[in-house]
Amino acid sequence: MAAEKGEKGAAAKEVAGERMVTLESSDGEEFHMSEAAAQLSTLLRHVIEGGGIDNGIPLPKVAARTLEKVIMYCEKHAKAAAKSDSDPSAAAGSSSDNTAAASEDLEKWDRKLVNGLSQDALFDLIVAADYLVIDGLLDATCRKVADMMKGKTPDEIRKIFNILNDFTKEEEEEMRREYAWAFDD
Amino acid sequence: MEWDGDGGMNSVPDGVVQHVLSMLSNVRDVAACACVCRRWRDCVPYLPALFFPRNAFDAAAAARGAADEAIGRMVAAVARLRELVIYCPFSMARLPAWIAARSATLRVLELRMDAASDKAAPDGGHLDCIGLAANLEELRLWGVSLTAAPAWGRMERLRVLEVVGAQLRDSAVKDAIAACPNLTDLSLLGCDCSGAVNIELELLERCRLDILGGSNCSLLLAAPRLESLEVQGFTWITLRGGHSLRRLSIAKSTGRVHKVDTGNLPDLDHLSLRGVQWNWAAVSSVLQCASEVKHLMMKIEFCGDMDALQPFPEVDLVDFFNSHPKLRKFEIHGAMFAALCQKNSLKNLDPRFLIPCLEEVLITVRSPLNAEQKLNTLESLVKYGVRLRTMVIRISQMKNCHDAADDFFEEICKFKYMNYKKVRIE
Repeated sequence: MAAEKGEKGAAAKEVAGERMVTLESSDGEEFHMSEAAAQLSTLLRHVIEGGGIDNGIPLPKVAARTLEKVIMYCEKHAKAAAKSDSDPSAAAGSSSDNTAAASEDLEKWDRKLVNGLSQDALFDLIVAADYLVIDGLLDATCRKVADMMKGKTPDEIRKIFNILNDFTKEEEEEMRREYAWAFDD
Repeated sequence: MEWDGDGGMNSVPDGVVQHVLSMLSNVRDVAACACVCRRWRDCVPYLPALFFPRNAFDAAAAARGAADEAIGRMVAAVARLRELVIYCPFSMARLPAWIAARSATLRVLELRMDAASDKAAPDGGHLDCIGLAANLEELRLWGVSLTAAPAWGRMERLRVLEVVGAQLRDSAVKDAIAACPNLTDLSLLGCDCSGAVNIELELLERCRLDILGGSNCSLLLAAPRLESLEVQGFTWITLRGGHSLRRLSIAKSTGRVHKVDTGNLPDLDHLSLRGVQWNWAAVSSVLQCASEVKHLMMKIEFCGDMDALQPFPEVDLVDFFNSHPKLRKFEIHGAMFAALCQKNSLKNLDPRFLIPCLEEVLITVRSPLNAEQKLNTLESLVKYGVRLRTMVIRISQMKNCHDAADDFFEEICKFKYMNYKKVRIE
């Protein structure tokens, strides 16, 4: 689909008329992604604009398996954006039904991507999206985590995410008072 | 999703925790998260939204004032509250304090007033406090009573106003709207209105007005940027500035529509006309103004100016489609189908006549009278509709009081078999 793993050391500049950028994961693997897709990352956009990316962009904070997902997301969304830009009726607004359906499909795709991840992989993707500043991906992944918390008690939440209860006894008392109404029944 | 290692939620940056928690607004979820650990508790003041669902508190708790207590504490705790939605029962008397506390940051407010446990003064005075939220952008009120306009001052930033299921006096509507001159979205639904409703809004783009039609009500709407308008229940309708209108729906479920004056509608894509009885001049006026329409839905049972219910006058098929050349989808229920005929055009049919864009037709046939004329119409639609893909004929509710009904049904089935690729009967 999206991420094309290039040969090591060969930074392909143009593939089929599209400008590409080379990224290097924390574990030394090289990835290529279209410049259009890279623009979805505010961080990458600034690096590209600043020039000096001839030898590829190192991403010491992003592992290969995570970077692969990041590139999948960006290529998918860049392609969708290009499609709606080139659609003349979209500009006129008269095919608002089409654009609504298209964005619904994209949301479905995002959910599928996120639902297929282990908790481990999900948080790695969150950290990567945060670091690379990819708003849409950060929203989609954080929404998944938020959904996992809904309707749960504090104990259940701690268990799911392996979080330590670091309140002192006094703080616990204060929380009990402050939220008495929530734990009344 | 089982946990299998270090890191995860514990090693994400604070900003990420904030981002995740900001996606929760149900007050019980917020409370649970606040009690998980220090880092999460510290995020609470920066949350954007609080939602108190209808069943947030059971009856016993509500009676103890638990709802008011909780709302007060949470509004106090969330220092930068942007969005407050209260569906559970609460005391109106406490509202001013809550709004005042967050007046600087509040942008979205939604209240179920009919759930309020203290029935407030009928003159709308209890709503005055909403004016304190000077930066409010969206306001939705359910079950409020607006017999006099609330003293809101000027809500310059308000863009969206929705009032559902309230008693509205027209003068109150006018004054309330005068307080919100920059609305882009206005909805008054299920409101008990009478007299004349007069609305002038420069920036209005979307408008829905649905009134309970006990008495005859008139609407004068001046909105030059209007793109979508849906009205139900008005007897007289005047629209000024419809040149940007793309979607228009006019309905009246009981009583009569006397007059519709829209002016030319060059951008209109979707048009829906529904009602029991419309004055014919009103129907033809709208149809004339909507010459560019692509989707047309007509479900008007009768016309006539008085109590007597009349069928539609004849509508020449060729004239009709020539005046609406962009028509792509046509839904005909009620009197329109019976009126379509070719009396005029059969005399000298232009051989180049076409129905160029029509792709989908949905017809409801109620009566077997004038069967030959109706079949002619169906045949013409198929013959001249060069792009026609689907025609659905609904005859399930046809009045079966005549032998003619059986004959007619047979003819329609024959028609269907001859055009089986396109025609379907329901």
